[in-house]
Amino acid sequence: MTAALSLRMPYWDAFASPDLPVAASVPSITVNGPNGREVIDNPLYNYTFHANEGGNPFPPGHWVRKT
Amino acid sequence: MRHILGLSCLAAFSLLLICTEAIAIIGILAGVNITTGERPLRRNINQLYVSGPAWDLFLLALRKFQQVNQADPLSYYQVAGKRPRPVFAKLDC
Repeated sequence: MTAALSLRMPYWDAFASPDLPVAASVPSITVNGPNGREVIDNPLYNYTFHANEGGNPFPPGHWVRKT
Repeated sequence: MRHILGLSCLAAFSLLLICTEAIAIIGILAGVNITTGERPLRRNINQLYVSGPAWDLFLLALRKFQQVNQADPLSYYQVAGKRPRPVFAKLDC
């Protein structure tokens, strides 16, 4: 609970750590969720656009997961 | 005044300024010391990665954020798309 109150957006110091952070380079990541440890798609790895939402013309069903 | 855009899934008071309705960016109020106004620091992502519950919360919140309907002005899609140009037709001022 205290972790939630003090959580802020992290930063990446690219000069101190030139390599892309490990956290952003793996497609799936293990997280301690409300139901115990679960493997989820890493939101830092990529964002999958939602088809036909918000006025965008992305067609459904044609998107291949890309890095 | 510092403006901080955060992903906390608890009391997030952050809003956005768009053309159809003005939403003020006031930052997250959770975790701010009432008396001193002291705010939690932003941490290095490589340190947050190994920090346990905060990291789990961050990832789960970010994933939830990305799942918000793209028509919602507070969705990941629209927040990440905030830029002076080009603007989307609906947000054209």
